[in-house]
Amino acid sequence: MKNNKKNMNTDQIISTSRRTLLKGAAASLGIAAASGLSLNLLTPDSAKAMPPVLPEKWDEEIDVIVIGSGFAGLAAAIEAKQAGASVVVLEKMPVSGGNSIINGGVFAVAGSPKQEAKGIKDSPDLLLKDMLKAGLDMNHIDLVRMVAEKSKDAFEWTESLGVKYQEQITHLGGHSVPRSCSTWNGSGSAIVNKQLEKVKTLGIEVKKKTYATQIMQEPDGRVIGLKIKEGYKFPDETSGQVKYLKARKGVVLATGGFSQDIYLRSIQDPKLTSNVDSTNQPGATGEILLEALRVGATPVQISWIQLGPWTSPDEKGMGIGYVFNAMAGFVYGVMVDPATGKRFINELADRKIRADAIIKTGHPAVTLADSQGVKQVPILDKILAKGVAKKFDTLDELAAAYNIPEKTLKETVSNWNTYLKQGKDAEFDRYMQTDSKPIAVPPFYACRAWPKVHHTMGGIQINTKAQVIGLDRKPIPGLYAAGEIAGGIHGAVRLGSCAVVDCIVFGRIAGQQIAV
Amino acid sequence: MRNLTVKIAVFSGIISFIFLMYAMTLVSAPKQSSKARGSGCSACHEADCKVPADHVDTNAMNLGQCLECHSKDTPKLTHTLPLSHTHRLNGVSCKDCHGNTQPPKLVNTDQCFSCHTIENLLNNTKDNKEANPHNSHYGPELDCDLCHHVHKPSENFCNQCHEFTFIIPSPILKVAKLL
Ligand SMILES: Cc1cc2nc3c(=O)[nH]c(=O)nc-3n(C[C@H](O)[C@H](O)[C@H](O)COP(=O)(O)OP(=O)(O)OC[C@H]3O[C@@H](n4cnc5c(N)ncnc54)[C@H](O)[C@@H]3O)c2cc1C
Repeated sequence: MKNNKKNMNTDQIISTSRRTLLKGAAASLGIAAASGLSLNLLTPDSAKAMPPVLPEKWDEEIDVIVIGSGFAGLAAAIEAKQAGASVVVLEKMPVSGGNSIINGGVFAVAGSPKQEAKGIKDSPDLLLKDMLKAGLDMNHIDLVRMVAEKSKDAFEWTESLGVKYQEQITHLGGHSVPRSCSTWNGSGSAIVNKQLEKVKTLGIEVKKKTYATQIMQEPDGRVIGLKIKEGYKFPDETSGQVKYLKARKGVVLATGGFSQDIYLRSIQDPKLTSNVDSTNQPGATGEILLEALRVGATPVQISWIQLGPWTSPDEKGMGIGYVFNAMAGFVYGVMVDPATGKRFINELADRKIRADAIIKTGHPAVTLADSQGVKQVPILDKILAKGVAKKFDTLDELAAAYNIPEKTLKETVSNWNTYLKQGKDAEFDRYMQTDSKPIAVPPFYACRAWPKVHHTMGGIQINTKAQVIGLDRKPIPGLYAAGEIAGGIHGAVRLGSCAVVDCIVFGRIAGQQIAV
Repeated sequence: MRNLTVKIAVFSGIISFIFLMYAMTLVSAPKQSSKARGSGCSACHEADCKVPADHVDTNAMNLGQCLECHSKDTPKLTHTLPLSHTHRLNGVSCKDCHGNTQPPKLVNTDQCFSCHTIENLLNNTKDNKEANPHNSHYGPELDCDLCHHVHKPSENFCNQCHEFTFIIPSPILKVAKLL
């Protein structure tokens, strides 16, 4: 405890967001937090080739160790404890919740009562089909089927923890029907905080500032514990005190993705240097992914890294402009290339198609909607006040503000209005909302869009019991994984709102299985 | 030859500059005295002339009385006094938090909550236009020292992701940063 406190200050984490200009383009991108960069300068334990020597004495012993305090880790901890195991959750950051607690709280549910009430026909099969299509059929079919079939179950599980959802359901890009439910506060924190409450009532300790550095194995490969650092001060690799924790039943890896790991992500995709911003929390780094590979986990599609197409270049990280783009611009409005004033992609295509298309233009796109199209945007005032979205009395003014040729812009808008009347988008075949209205009633609103690193689809291989599969094609005894660290569920592209459900479905499975 | 002389001159210039800067830190860094009374400003701050000789006697003052002048006059002490000082001026001594032991006990969040209440904190910042940092998506029970440091400048933890402009009380006085 004492040591913990000594290392509690988090000066290094303080943001040093800078702005830089992308060569040849007007895109300004927030440089990733310095924390991510400095972490990359040091070699994690996992990079050392020698297998770690088992300690003579373990400092503590427990049935199950879960690494990571996001959706997946907490779901695993709750299930394992309820199945009778003693559990501890390790979290390297000074706060719990990882990306889950900063997430947008949008949850894909196939066949929810909310859909029924609105007369929307949906099924697990249709969700499966959508996920496979976006995933370019690179998905591991048994895993994605599990997620699709259990989406309703996972949703109801969160409701049983006390999570409340809004009435409305959203139609996100790549989904064939509206099916995404939003938490009452539009944030994953609504789920994580209820999970944390449950964890507390079950008497599970969440050890913050506790950094898992090495997976310890018996000579036969069974995972029996971890080398950790207590009182770790992210991202200072020299901080913290080494301890060894024994896990009688095993370890659940729920450490999330590596979108903020500039070193690892730019090895996988050299375009993703420090010049590209990310929506993720600074601790979304890949040391445990690498450590899992060191102990023989099979890598799956690690270079498939997703950029979110809806983020704004006019603010840092995820920001708030994406809410405008995702809920108005892409759905009730249009997205244009400011150089031409024309649409250039189906605004509801999957994330990769959209992000690639925007990047290809070489500069941020502009999305726009009229006063009727922004009705679903819950925090419009805030987005306007921050100056990320802007309001205009006429389309001419809007065009002038973003340097868009006004004649073509007006043509684009009138074309869209015609498609709407005809019930078919003749250019890109975009899905039409039943409540869509022509873009006509001022004021008009606009926001820029420029992609940021958002999700790492790839990771380590698991089976439907959340067991980590080794290079010998068999489960590594005592090693489980769930959530963003596991690969294969989403294939090439993750659909929006499908991560929450994936994390909860496989988190719960991991917890149930490891406690057996 | 001339070149060398220039080099030596530049080099010794740099050295003496560094030395001068160092010497200045020695002069301007206030000493730390655990025996000083909370409001006995000059016990520590005399050497660097932070407290002018004709300043009213501070010895019996508390923070509220200091701020009667110093919230409007220069030097403005709102948001600039280190938390160690605001505590001291409110009658909280070193050992109230750090105990009587050597080395002093490290302070954790529970210790903060032995005086401060969550309700008060929530209330104090509820009108913050950007966000109520005491009731964020992380809930109300974060560790205080994510933002508030007592013996060094505070920081805005939220800004590891956000771009808030609100000020965390109390970033330390500039001169004391040299400590
Ligand atoms: C801004 C944002 C918005 C999003 N919105 C949505 C949405 O609305 N719907 C949706 O479906 N998906 C969304 N996603 C994606 C989704 O939130 C993530 O994929 C998901 O939260 C991952 O959960 P997880 O439990 O796998 O990992 P995380 O929640 O990221 O948790 C992993 C934890 O492990 C910790 N950790 C990592 N390494 C170590 C180590 N070595 N030792 C100890 N601890 C470690 C991390 O610090 C972190 O706290 C969003 C993502 C972001 C970034």
